[in-house]
Amino acid sequence: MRLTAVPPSPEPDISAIMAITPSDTMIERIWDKPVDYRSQKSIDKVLEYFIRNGRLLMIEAEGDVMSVVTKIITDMKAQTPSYLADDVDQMMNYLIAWMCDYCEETKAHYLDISFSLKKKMGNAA
Amino acid sequence: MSFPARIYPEQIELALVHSRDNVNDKSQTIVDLMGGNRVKNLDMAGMGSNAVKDLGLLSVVASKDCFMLAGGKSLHNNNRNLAQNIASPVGGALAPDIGSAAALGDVRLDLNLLRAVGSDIVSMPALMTEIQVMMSNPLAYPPEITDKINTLLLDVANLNNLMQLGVLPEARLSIESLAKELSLRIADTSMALFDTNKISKDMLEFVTGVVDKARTEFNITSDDINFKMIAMEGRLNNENYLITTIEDLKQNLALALQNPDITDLQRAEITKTLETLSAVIAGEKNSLNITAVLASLSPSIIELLPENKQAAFANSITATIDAVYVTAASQLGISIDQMRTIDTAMLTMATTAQDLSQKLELLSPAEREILTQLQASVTMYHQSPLSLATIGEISKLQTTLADQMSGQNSGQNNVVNLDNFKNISPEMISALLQSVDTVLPAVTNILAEKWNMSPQEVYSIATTLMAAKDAYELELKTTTNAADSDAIQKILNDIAQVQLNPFSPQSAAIVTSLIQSPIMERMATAELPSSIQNLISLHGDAPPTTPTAHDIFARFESILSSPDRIEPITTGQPVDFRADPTHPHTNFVDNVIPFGLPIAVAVAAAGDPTTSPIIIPTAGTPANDVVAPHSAPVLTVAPQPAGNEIPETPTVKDRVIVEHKIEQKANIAPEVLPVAPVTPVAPTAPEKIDDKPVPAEQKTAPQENPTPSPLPTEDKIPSKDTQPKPDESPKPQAPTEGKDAPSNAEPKTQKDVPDLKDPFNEKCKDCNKACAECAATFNVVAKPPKWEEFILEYASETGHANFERMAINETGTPLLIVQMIGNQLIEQHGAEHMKQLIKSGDYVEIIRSEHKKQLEQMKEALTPAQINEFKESPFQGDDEALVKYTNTLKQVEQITIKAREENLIIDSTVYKNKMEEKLNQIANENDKDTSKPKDEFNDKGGICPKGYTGSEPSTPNKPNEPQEVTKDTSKLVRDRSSTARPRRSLG
Repeated sequence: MRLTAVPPSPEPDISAIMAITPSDTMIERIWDKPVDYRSQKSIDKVLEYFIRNGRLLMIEAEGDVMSVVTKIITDMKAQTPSYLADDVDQMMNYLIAWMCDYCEETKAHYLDISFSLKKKMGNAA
Repeated sequence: MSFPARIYPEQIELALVHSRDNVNDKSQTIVDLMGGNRVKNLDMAGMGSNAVKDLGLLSVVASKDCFMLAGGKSLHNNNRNLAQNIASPVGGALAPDIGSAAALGDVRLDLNLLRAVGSDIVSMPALMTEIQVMMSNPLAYPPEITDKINTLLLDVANLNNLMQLGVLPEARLSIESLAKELSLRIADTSMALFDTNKISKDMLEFVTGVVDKARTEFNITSDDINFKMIAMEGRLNNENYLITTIEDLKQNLALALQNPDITDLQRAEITKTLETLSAVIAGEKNSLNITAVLASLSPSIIELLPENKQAAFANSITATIDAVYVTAASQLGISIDQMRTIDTAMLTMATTAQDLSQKLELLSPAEREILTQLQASVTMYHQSPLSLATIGEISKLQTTLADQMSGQNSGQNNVVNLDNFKNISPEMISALLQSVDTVLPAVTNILAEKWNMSPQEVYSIATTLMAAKDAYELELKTTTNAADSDAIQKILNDIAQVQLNPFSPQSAAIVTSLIQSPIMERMATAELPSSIQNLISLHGDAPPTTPTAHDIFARFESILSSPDRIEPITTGQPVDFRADPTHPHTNFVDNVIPFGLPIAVAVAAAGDPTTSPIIIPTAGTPANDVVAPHSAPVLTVAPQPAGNEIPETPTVKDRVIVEHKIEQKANIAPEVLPVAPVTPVAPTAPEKIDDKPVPAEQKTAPQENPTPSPLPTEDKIPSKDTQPKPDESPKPQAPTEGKDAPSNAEPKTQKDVPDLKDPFNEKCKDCNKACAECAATFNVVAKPPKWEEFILEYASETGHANFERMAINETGTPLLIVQMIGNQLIEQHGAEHMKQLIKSGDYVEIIRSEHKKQLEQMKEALTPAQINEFKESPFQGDDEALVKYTNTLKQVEQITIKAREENLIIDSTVYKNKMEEKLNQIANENDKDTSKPKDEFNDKGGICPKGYTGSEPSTPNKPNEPQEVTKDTSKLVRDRSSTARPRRSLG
């Protein structure tokens, strides 16, 4: 997959990446940054799949962050078709970034997390 | 903006909404961490921050479809693990408080692994386990290592991010440059960590995959990155790494050979390198020989290649050296970094030895003693890098260096006595001492960890075994009784066996017999050197004491006999015990067959403990037919590949399997077994250069059968029965001139010289007289079997690969002359006769006397014109030296011309340089000694009837060529060290 084939994100923050060093890589947290184009597109596609097919999703995981992430990804992939695998991966990568930033900020080693699909009010679940 | 979210220290809520819900306008993120409240975009849906805080995120996203992540810290889990840590004595003592962030520090390897791996984490459970082990074992992973791993993971994460980034065309160049920089940094860090066993092969494989993907993604075509990729992949697949790099290097060398401007010296170097490479591939040599031969390669060779190939050539050399270390480390079960450290230090010794051996005739007694021990150390290292024998030899070298220096133990720095070292610079001495201080504790520590012993025990046992060997060798030289001689030889053989395989079944019995030996009482044990004392203190052991040799062997015997002794791990595969650092086998791997221990020893070890001869299986010979007395193992040799098939590097496991098979089968098909050259212990142990030769009558055991034995077949090594009898060939007496002038030694009478056909008394076919020209021509014409072939054959039969060097040392005769005389002896009397001469030690006197006679012959061949020229030269005060010098040069030139035609390829410049130095030395000495009478030779002047006038006397001062050689040698050491770490040498 070539990078040029993908439409550029509105703000490809190249200068920030160019200045990457190990010490200051994660200073800017993900909640302070806009969602990137690829991740948003993947979330849209996966979300649409669940809504369109009337699927439910409720994943609960507890343990260290790696175990929690592993369980969410495994269960998520089990409930999505293979053609959405790349999108699920992309969405999960974005979710991992959130969880890592959260754990790093709060120095949390063990998490008790639920990951679920919430449908808007009025829709039949 | 980001997605709607609420983030508190104990709670997180995140809604992944659809893009059509226009989150950029309406999303709201409340971040309340560490007491600070940051609220962004509070106007979403006109609600305000308080409403969101009070009602929760669901109140914001209630009208939207979304994925909701909700949760927070798991206090229950944290408490549970805290309790577990306190309850578990092991975990409580070693593992940190996992529930406490402060105990783990700020570095979060688990998070950075997640960032680096992303959603692929589900397919990499091994990496998860590895990171968890790292985090729970801070003692095994100190902060500097953790920081490196952290840096690596972050770099990988950033590289992954780069590949995910949508890149505008104008930014592409910058991104590609950044990707390349990141890739190189990742490669460097990952290999540095892998080389020190800090990350697993799984981790390296993952990292290699990312770098490879980035290389493809960004179309990086740099030689640097390609080379690093080869090195990384070589570590993942080290079975073929060495073969591949060697083949690549051979192609480059072959290309260099095609250059028409190549000099003879360069051709000789390349040919020698190619031979070594082929020998390693064929399993005839240890792979560590490659580093030594590449270190001696002249840097100017690179200029023989086209400019566009030179970088690739340099990389192929670096890659080959790297592959050697990777392969050797894998076989030895040690880290690549340890292997590199040890070998680099040993290369310093090897290059010093090579340098000194070129100035042999100029060396002082102290320097000769150092040279002898240097060669012994290097030889033993190449035979068995990790063994008690290597520790013993290097320890002996350390003692030798210390003995030859004045002001020893005066503070931290030893002071070099300049009177003792005229050819060894203080820098060289310093480098040698540093090398010894590097190798000695490294090897000792490795063996101590492998054998679960303390470093002090290992070192003491090694040095005491070496002392016992020295004592018995000394006794052997003074023994005239044949029965006693045989008994001592057997003991020496036993000691060598213990040195190389201390945990063989019969080691305990051997050590017991050593304890009961009367020689034990006379042995003194040396104090531990500072490097070993430091090592012991690092291990937290008790302060070192100085036990007696008897105590050390008694302790060794108890270790060997102890039923509680941890048995060697027999898989031979490096085992990752990091998951359980308390396991007794941690770092105790692969000691079944130390590297370099040939199958022959395993065969002997598996057999009757009382059987002293070691079976040497050779191709085409039944294993039990060939017996080499007093043998010690030399090399680990792989089976020769059939045809063009690329052989897989034999692992230790393979060797163990072979050993097991050998133990089960009494008769072994020769082709199944690798060729295992074996070095006779007592006869071939590098003797001191200044040792006075023992009379042959004492060296050779009396024979029962006085009649000459038939020549041994090619398949067999001549046994004692085939050695010449003392009464058959009268041996020359030991020279009495002293150790400084071995070349001047000559037999007392001409009758003492064995009745050999004298090459220098051969008559010229044209002139029917002897002259230097004819003698030289005669010598080089002699072809089969050539000296070179003999050396190879002798080495393959006995494992004594350094015989030529030893012959030079013992006879004090230049290399060319030794080769020439050896050639002649073999041509006239056959290779088997030469072997007998070597066994009996007679070759020393023969070569010396031939050398002497040769010089005399050359004097007679001088013309008056030449003599006049010499008289007008600046050296006219020393005619004899000039005559010798000029004639030797002349002969060397003639031989060289022929030798080139014969593919012996010897460049005369090295020899010229050496002779020039000698000439200067003689001239200086004669300047001091004005009372020396003039040589009457000037009045004689032998004239060749052929009208031979000889070449023009060579100009004594040719500063360029000799200096270039010396300069190149010094460069090589630096180049070699700089290429020892391939990742650093590029860029």
